[in-house]
Amino acid sequence: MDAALAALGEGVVLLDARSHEVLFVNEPFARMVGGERIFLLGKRLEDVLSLASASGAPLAPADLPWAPPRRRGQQGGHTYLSVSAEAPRYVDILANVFDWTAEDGKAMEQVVVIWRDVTERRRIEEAVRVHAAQVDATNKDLEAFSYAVAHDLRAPLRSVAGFGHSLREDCAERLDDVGKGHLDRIQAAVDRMAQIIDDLLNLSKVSRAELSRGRADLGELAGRIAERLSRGSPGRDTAFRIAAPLVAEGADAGLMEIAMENLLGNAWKFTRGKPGALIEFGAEAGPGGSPAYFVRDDGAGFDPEYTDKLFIPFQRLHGRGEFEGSGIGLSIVKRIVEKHGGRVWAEGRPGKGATFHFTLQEDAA
Amino acid sequence: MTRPARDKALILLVEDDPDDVELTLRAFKKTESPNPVRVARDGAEAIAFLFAEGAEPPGLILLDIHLPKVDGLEVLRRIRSDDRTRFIPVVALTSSREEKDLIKSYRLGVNSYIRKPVNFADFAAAMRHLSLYWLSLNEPPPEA
Repeated sequence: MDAALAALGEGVVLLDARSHEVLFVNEPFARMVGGERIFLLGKRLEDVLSLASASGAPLAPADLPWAPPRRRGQQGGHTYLSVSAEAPRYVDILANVFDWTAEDGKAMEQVVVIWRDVTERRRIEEAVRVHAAQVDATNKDLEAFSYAVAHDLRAPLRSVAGFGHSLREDCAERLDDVGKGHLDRIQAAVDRMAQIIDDLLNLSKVSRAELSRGRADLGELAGRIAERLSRGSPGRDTAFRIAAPLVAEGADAGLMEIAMENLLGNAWKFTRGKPGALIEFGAEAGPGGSPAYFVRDDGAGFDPEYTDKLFIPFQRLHGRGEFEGSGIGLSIVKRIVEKHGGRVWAEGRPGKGATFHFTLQEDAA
Repeated sequence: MTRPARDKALILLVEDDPDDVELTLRAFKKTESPNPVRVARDGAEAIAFLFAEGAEPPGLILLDIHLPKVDGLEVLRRIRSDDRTRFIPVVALTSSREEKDLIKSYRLGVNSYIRKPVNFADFAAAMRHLSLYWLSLNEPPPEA
């Protein structure tokens, strides 16, 4: 039995239930506490070991897992104990009370205590936690930095726009059509840069936002956005087919509105040249069983070879002369979806339209 | 200390960026605003002007939030805690949309918060709306 208990790798101690005297310890337990087995026999663990809770507070006698009142069966569970103050080892311990009848007919009550050394696991968990906190802090710094930069870029841009405007007004008779053409280019570039800065600020804002989960009717949201888009360009004959109501549980309605605006806005933009275009929003069963929502259009589409680039900030798959945009919209969608624990993916063919799918929760698959 | 007729009321512009000062003045000129504009280049100058002996109280204060020396939020706090200036409409005119600036400004009693548009035509339109709203449409409290 000794060899079998030594091979377990876990510390095993047998105690007298009343006196707490050690009746047996195995080799792994002796190694764990840095003592000789023979030295531990007949002693009480609370006398020879410095036992503390995981937080470092000394363990009161009543808190010992083998202390009365004892119930039959397992107790103690997964308590962390520091065995020695100088070189703390953290152990998961499990105490099992049982009684049996000895050969001389006397009833014996004993406690088996199993000790599993989890010092290494704790060290790794702590290292992971510290690392995650560092990554988090770095990300926050980066967000704050990009926000400050984007924000500070607006002020000089306002001067460029304002004094360009002044130049056109104050020096009108000295500017010929070529000069005015240059000013038009400057103005257009300023507008584009202002848009990029605003998109960057939005991306940063979305990244920093705390998720506030609730119920969001994505169908109703989509309907409102579609109406707004249609009202903005009354001449277009683009149709919407929207599944409503379509309620998503655990979704942040504010963030989802931003995501839906970007997805439907994209569909609207890339169906611009197509008479009788159709934009759809709905849901189907996703790969992991949870709902996968989709926004589908039959517009310009994209080359599937570049699918990976769609969600990277500033990556554009269309020429600036063809379709406007900063290339940030889909990055915003991706951050919002990932904040919810879901993912976003896309399918498309040039000239055959595009479909964007997203889920709002982790899939088991 | 009496208030002049509202169409002649003074606008106090608190702004440290000379380009922004010039563009704001230009916007008021272009919109043919009848109101004189006085410029304070930082928070300390704004406070000195507002609380000077016998100073004419402005009808409207346009306040940049990020200012050297005394920042805009502190100027706002001083304006709201003095009986002579407590009710003067203050519009935060800034390029920040940072949430904490917005919240602090409203907590300190700002009347309105405008993020300066980049495009000059939009900016001039914003200035026109602002002065029209606060200096003719809005009814100020009766003079104490």
